[in-house]
Amino acid sequence: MIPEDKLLILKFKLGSKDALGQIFEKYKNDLLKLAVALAGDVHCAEDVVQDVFVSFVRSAARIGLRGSLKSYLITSVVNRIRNLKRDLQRHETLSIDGRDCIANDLERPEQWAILSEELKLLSKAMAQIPYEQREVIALYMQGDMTFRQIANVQNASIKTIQGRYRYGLDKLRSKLNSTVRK
Amino acid sequence: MSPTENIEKRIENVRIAVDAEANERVFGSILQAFKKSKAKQPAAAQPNIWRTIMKSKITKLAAAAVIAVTIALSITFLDKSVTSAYAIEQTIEASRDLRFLYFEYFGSGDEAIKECWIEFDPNGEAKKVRTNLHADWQIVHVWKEGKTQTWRKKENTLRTYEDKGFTAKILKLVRDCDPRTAVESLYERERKGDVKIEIELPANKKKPIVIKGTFLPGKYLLDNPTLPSFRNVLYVDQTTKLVTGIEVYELKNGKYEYNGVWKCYKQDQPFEASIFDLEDETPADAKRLTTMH
Repeated sequence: MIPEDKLLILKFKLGSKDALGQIFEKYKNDLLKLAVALAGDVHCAEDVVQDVFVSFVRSAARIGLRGSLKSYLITSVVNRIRNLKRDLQRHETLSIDGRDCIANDLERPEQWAILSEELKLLSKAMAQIPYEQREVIALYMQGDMTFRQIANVQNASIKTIQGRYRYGLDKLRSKLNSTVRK
Repeated sequence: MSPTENIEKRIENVRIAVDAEANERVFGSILQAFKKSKAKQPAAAQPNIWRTIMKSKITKLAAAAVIAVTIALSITFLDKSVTSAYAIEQTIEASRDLRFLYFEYFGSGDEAIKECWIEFDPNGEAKKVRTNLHADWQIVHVWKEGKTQTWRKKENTLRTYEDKGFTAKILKLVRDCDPRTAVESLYERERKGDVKIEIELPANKKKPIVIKGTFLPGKYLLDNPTLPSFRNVLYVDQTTKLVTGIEVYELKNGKYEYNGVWKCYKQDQPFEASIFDLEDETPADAKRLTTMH
């Protein structure tokens, strides 16, 4: 863990809300971007990231000083979105996987994340590629994870992950190009 | 640029912002959860953060409460040398409230492998110290104003003795860990030639000053000349000038490997008196030895 994060965690575990504030400010944008890319829906993404931080503060006693804080938070986001996806599929409501779910253009007055036009576009395109490919792209590009780390997360071989990344990017490109042509 | 690089660049460059009011609302709810989770801990077990030391009312004591130490030193940053001199001003204010400190030392696991309780007198001098060492507290020392009790569980012995060497060792431990004196203690060792100090001074005032003290082989502990080189990394709050954490690294195979970290908790209430008396705590059948000089 980078020394700055280690100190923040140490202070946080000692009860410092300033340290908590610094952790929140440091990582919220990255987590929101990742969650938007994975969930394809900004409101889902906001809820997920908020839940991740709430769960983080409740687990203060269990958090150690080794390992990466960013990886911990990213993994929490990934797990939550996977659970959400599984629950939605089980209840046969609007799925966050695939063609049904597109980034919600309607902005609520109390909306937390403000997406750039480019992010909206990318998010819509991401929502149309298979979830596993989407997850690899998001974790590699926005989660700063290596293919090896993603292979652990997805319980697959590195070759498979690299394949998902390549095919995912190809599909993403063609979705974006077809959007431009429209 | 290839099509792949192009799309990767697009993903890399996307930006996200947050609405300030909504951000405050979200953080507010997280803070609520944080407060609730702290409130669930029993009051006796709940530690106070170090900042309460400086935020609490400072009372000037008869025996000189304010000490200002100005130290001029040249800084060696990690990746470059700086020839200009730089002065760090340390202001240490004794607080009547800072009477009881509790420390834990964590290695790589979640359980503390060392514990330490320190009671100070109103002048800020250590009056009583207890250390629990190793898993299951194999060795417990209680030091009270020069006299020591040591309980060794494996041998089932309780020894009471006076030893100037041990007293020096225990007071050094206090000085090294006390957030008010930890940096000063390191500088003293530097003057003796035992340690080399490097300082990182970030421009951002919210970031801590990082002070690395690399000890020469055999110089880390007073009574163990066989130890390799160790490194203590002290994090100093730029506002309060208090040490907020001490990491320990050991030189192994040419690299400094993380050994553990000291955490400190301030207690508002006195410790139970029994913490500093091993007589009742040791088993009745323990061999009791007394050596007084």
